[in-house]
Amino acid sequence: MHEASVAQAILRIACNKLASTAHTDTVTAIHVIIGQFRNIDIDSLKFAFDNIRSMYTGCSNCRLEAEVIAARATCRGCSRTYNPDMATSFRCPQCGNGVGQLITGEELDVIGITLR
Amino acid sequence: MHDSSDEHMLERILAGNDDLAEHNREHFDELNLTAVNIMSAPGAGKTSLLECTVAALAPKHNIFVLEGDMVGNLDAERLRRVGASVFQICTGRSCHLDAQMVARFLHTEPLAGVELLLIENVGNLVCPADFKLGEHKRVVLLSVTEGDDKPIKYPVIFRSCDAVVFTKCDLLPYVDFDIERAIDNIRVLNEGVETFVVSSKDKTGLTEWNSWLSQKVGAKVASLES
Repeated sequence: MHEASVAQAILRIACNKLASTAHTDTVTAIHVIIGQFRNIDIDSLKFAFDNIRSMYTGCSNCRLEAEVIAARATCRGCSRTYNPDMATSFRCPQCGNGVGQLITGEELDVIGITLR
Repeated sequence: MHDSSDEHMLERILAGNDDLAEHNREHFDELNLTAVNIMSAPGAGKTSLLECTVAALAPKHNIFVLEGDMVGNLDAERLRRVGASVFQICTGRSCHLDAQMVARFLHTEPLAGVELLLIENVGNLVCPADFKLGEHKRVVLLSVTEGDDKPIKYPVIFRSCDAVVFTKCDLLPYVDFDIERAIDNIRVLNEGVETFVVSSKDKTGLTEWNSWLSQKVGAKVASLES
């Protein structure tokens, strides 16, 4: 259940943003992106977020918008780009080789905060 | 009052942890110390392996063990019985060690002269993967009773490690665990990973594992001397 730690980190970022922005006292929404190759369960994250947000000044009614970023990788055999997933045990569907470089899928970022 | 929306920012959510991990790494490097983060599911045999490792390498290297558990100090006591210097971190409700816990330890425990810091993480194949501690090497243990499909089920931790140690290999005749298939499943995710097949019970394969650790300590010393 490290989603609770991640929810805390998201709320801390929002509080810092609120504190450094003049004429605002409320965080209304936080937009995050989470890669498929992160161990984050979105429902658990939202559950944790909703349960702790009131402990953070200005965040009591804040909405979490979480967007999942699909994993894209370069195949280390044929260099094609593919979506590594459990269905193929993460192998390239073209040649059966393994994951080379991960292009996307490791994101864990706040990309937007709305204040009022 | 109008909304003020910043949709152009990009801030890493775990930047706080990652920055502290970097700070820990600098601390380790100042001490000329090699730190190894040892992770696995609960019961894979981390403590048993460390008992063997400490016993074998203590004459050669100055070793310190950082023991992470949610509650209690049973593992720390086991390691003290084989002569290890141990510091216990109880994480309470947290299912992983994080960089701040390690930073606090670094600021309280004098580690001068220690060459190898073995960090036994909380037993868990999910959460520890996302929290860097500042370690130089990441090792995952997979016991043969767990199944050779586990790398596919827990890809993040197996992709991000430097070595995998298959433990309890004395039980191989009794379980359907195919070492070659397990290695293949890991290499799909992590091409350069090192693998070891060991048994802490009958001491199989420990020499290779201990040599690998010893080499990492030696390489560190050599890089400082050059």
